[in-house]
Amino acid sequence: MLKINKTVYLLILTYLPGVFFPIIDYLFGRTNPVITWIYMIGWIIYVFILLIIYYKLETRG
Amino acid sequence: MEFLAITIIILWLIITFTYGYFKSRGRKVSVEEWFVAGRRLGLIVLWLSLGANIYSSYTFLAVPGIAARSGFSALAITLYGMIGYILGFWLVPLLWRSAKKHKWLTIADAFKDLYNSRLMGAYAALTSALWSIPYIQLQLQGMGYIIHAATYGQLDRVLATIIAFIILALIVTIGGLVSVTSINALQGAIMLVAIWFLGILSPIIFFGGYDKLFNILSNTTLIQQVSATENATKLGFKFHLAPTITDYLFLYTLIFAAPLGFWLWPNRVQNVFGAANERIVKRNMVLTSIYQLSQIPVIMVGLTTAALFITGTLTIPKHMATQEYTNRLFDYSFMLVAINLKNPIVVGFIGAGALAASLSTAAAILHACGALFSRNIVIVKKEETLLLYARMFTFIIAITSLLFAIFLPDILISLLLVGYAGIIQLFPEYLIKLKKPELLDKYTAITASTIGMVTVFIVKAFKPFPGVYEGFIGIIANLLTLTILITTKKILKSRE
Repeated sequence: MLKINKTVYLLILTYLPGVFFPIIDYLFGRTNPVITWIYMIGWIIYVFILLIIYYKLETRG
Repeated sequence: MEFLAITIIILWLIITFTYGYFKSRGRKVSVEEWFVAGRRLGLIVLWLSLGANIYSSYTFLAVPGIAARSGFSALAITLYGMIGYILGFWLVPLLWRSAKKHKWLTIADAFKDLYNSRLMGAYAALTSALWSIPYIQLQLQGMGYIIHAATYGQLDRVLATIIAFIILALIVTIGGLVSVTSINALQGAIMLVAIWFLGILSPIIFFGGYDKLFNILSNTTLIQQVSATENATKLGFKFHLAPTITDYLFLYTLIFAAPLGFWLWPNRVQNVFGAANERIVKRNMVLTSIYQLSQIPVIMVGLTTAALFITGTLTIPKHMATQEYTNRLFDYSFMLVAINLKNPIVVGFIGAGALAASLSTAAAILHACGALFSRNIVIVKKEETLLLYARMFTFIIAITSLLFAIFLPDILISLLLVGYAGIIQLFPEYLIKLKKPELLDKYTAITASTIGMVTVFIVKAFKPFPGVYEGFIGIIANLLTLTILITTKKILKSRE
């Protein structure tokens, strides 16, 4: 089982794209909102990948 | 040819229920069997049943509904669920281990043991069962929409819902979790196929590709013109691809608050308790998130509906163009896209998948509510009497939700989010007691959690902060109360 601090670390990584989201939206999304959508879908897939990494780390011990 | 759609749905229901019946037939139903399937569910059965348990009318109807109605907000819904799995990977195996060790059968057992208080167990049981009612209502409304759409308006929505739910209540009451999980395993499989099939293909079939779909949706001038029409205003059409300030508020407040409740839903926890071992639980946290990822094609179905509406090519069947459906029409998006393909077989297949999702979730929540009431609220020692109470309460909750669905229908996504807003108010009390048990007693926990839940009610009713998720404000109120009570207690102790 992973320790709590590792979980917190992973949660920080999970929310990290949220820090850059307004910047991306302001720079690119205003002219082409599709870029904002691609970023958001990318964020969802990124969390999914983090989950797989979490699982791999955990099972490796 | 139109009767083909409902025939396919009925055939699918017969297949799943017969399967569920044969799976549970001849088994002696013990309490552990009824509540958590004897804790012997394997990887695949747990995966499919958990998928069918979590993903429901909200995936098939509510998410495409919000995507078609509002655009951007749908992405926030998918994201918070995915974050829920990150939290779940840490929280759920912990819960499962304790459940196995202490023979917990419900989420309220966890609260009862942690606080060493029957009162706390009863409080957690009562509140989580009550907050499940909007979630069951969501499923019931959804089932009504699906059958109504699949019969092309021939069968009255209310009557269809009543019939479907009576069958469901009987299956749950008689079979317990073995029957529910067996049925859900089949439902989970057809759901995945239906989601990916329609999600991937609909933008290609209707517009010739995703690029063309997004070209229409990026045309702000055209969207503004369409949104200004009387018909669009009546239908609540406020589509926008680019996020507004309200969307920002919704996104950030939702993704911080809602994931806390993802693994506190009594039906989900109880389903996980049924796992044979901890490894299966962990692997399922990753596997089940595939269903969450499947919301991306579901959003595409919603976008297809929006684009069809914007271009004026969306065929709305006559029976849906009535007053009753004005502000809820976009909740039909998934079925509307299927109907617009003009092939009753596809409508039947998609309808079967959508109905499977609603039925399976409703079954699991009802089952969990019955378990909560009978195990954590009433005091019974005899096993037979306990099972009788469980079945009785399942039926009472079913009827209550049915009445709400008939007399107080709401936009589907609102029902889901208000349920979450209530459930998450148990999270701080669970986590703090788990990590720093000396900080909290049962009275502090009950007071803070209740204040959080009452705040949710008030915010939901008066909407003082547009865009801000009511659960977020509830959790702030909850945490503030906890801080004040704990600090006051410390000050008073230091003076003694």
